[in-house]
Amino acid sequence: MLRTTPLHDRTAPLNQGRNWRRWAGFTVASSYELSHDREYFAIRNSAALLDVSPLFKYHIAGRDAARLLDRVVTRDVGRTQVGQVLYTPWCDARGKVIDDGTVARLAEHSFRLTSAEPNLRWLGDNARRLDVRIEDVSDRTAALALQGPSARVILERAVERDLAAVQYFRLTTGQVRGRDVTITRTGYTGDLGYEIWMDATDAIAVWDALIEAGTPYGIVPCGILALDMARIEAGLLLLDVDYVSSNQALIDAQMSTPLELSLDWTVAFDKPQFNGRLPIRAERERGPEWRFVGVEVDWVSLEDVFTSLGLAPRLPTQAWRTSVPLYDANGIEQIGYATSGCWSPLLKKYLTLAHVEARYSSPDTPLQIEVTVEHRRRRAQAAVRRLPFFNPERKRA
Amino acid sequence: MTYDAIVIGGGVNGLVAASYLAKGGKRVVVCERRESLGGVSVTEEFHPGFRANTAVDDAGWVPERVMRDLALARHGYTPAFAASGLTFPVDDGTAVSLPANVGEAASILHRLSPADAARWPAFCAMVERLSGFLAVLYEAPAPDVHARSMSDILTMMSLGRRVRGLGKRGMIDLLRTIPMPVSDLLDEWFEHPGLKAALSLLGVLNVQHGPYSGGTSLVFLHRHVGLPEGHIGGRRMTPGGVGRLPLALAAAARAAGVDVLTRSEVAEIVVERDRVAGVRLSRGDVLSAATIVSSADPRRTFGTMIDPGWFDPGMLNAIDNIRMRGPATRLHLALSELPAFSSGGSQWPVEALRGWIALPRSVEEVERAYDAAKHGGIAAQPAILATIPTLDDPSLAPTGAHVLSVQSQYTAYAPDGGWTEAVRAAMSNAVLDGLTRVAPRIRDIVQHVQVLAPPDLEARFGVTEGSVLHGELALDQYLFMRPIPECARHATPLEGLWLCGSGTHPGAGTAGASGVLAARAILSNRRNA
Repeated sequence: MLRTTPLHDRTAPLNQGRNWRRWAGFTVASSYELSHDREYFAIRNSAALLDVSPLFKYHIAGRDAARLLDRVVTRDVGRTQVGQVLYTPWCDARGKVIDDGTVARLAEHSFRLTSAEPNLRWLGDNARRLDVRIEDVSDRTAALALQGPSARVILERAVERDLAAVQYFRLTTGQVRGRDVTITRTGYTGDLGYEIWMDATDAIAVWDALIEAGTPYGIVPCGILALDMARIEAGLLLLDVDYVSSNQALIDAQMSTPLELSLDWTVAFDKPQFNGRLPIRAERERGPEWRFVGVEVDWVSLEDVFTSLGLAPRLPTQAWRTSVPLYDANGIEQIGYATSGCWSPLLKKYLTLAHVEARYSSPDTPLQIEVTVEHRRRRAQAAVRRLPFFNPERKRA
Repeated sequence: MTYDAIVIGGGVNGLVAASYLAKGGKRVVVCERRESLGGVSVTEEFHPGFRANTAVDDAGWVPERVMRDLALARHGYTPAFAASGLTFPVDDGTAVSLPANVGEAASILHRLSPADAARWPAFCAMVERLSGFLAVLYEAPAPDVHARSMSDILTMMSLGRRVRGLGKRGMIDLLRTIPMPVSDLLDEWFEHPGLKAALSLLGVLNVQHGPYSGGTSLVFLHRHVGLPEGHIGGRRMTPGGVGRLPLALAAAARAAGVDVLTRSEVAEIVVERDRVAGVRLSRGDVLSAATIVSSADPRRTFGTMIDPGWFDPGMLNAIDNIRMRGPATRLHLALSELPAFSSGGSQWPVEALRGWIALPRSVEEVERAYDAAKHGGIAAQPAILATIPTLDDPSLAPTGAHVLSVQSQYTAYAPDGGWTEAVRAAMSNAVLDGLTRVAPRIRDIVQHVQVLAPPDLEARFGVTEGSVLHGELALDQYLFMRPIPECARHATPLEGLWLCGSGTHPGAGTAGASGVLAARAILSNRRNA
């Protein structure tokens, strides 16, 4: 039986369409209202409150906690400051990405790692001869994401303190109605936003406080459908959708390296050790074969495909998660595939996230994308774009 | 100090690897933790004036090529094969001692079973043929599964000249035999329970398997590699005991220019810029070299000597899962005189005592001894294989006195309740009880008993879980799977780190066969050229 999150008592009555989906063995709302439009616009225009409790969370503590994480992830954890949060992938010994998540340095020798899939065993395997305790705190830690331009003012009201000093990818602690919370300035929307981490037994009280504080600012409980559109606009990749964990891949071609996912910036090549270091370094020398890029579908070209059949253009109302072939500008050779896509109501653009052969990865490289119209495969013009598609100043300000 | 290569461990394989590397033009140092060289192949004083082959009764097969290349005869190692193999008690109160001569052995067996006697020559020929084929495999690097398909491996195996001699029929015999329980193999050949019991011990020597366990026929054949036809249960005898071999190897190594350091324990293998750079000794000094060759067992090498962060955790899991499980307790008895052996009937002739004396009366008795260890305990009635080395080499004890060494199986490495003094005493008592069945007055002449349980062997020799083979000899830890596929050709994923110990192919008690293969692999490695 699928499990419910610590917030189920609040989220269930709100779920008008009984529109649940699975996430890591839990049920979470796809959307609370019958259409996710209002939830999407809340992310970009006011504030959205999301239950992200199904994330896997590990508490890593002890004298060698940083050393363990530095063996595992590609970024340099040893150099982070207390209160800093890192986004990072991690790889197997061949440099193929296993998962990605965030590392929060809670104290000198205390960290929280989040991940999309279970990683307890892998962490344990990497902890040989280290003085470190690894605890899976997924069940006893609830998490809420408060995302959108009004997120700060709402959260300041809830914690009754000023949060202007909490910079992007930093954390602080506080209390909401007497309940201890950790607040990280992180999120999966590419907007101004925070994630709030708390004991599972405090989750309902914190939810209530945020709803109360946020109601004057247009806070909206938000499901995964709206989040999925926002994260595409933000150019944030998703495990099992945009890439396959090397743990799950059946063949090498299904695996990706950090460089193939265009996560070069997350690889601390000067760290002496981490899983995959030598193969990734060798890959850097010869250049990765694949890159992960934004691809924008050309509107006029798309319209032509539809009008040639006597139809008005139809756009996806939700983000899609299928593999769609990409071709070179002449439409001769398949040079990649898009793995996520959506119409961005904000940018008024048809956006996709895609893997392309490295030589087609420069911004503005013209491509063609397959579009299925009336059961037939057609091609529309498209072009490579720099990620993120949407990057508001308020995200970091 | 800076060397081209540092060999960790001055056991037989370490010394052999060092000599070959030195002969290949490398400047080599051997770092041995103990004061004495030889690893588990040592002969040591265990009671004032009494010396015994501490861990193993036989130095093992030294490939002919190693004997020649290192001029071991010139350096004082000239082993002779024991004239008699196995001795075992039979129901009429006498003992049967099987000489190495096939015809003589057959005529002796005739008294027990005419059928067994008739089959003995063919059995000896089979053992010689199949173990001879293993010897061919053991002189070549393990098949490279990463580079070749399974059919290529079979093709490669068939390249050996012995295989052509073995023929298709022989190949089928081999592939059918090695996975078999040794009990089934012996049932196919023989009917006399005492004969089968004695032979079965050779299939379980130093492995935590009973004779009914699969793969013990491989152990039996492996044990006979390098022994001439008829030498069933044969051993190599040298004055001074098994420790004579490492002395000769050390002399050969020094003659080749190797620095041999004893009391020099390696605390850590130093890694710099993704490759080995040297070793740090536990007394603090650092020796530098671009090549480190470890003859320590793989669990010890990867588990204690090097930062695990340099390796794939998945590979280290595989290393952790290598079965070590030393099943044997070694007991050395200082005896004031030669014990009289009899089993209800007449006294056994002294000649009979020169063999390996196998006490179990049936294969089932051996299996029952294993049952206890299988469930985390210690056999109440252990399977005993005894030898009196002083009969051939009186120098091991004061005049008139004798040494009796016992290989006693089985014990769990970590029995429930742990290894207390009381447990050791009980073990000693159980062995003496067993010996009393054939040497009724032995307790009267015992001056001292040394008990070396698996944890004692581990502490003394640095062999994980007391496994003198550096990992159980089993089909899943054999050839390209020894110690694990990633390291089967002696190289490891860390540049400059190599393995040459008994935990690598062919290993498991062969003397120097792993060392020579490792050295050849290092010398032919392009990066070292």
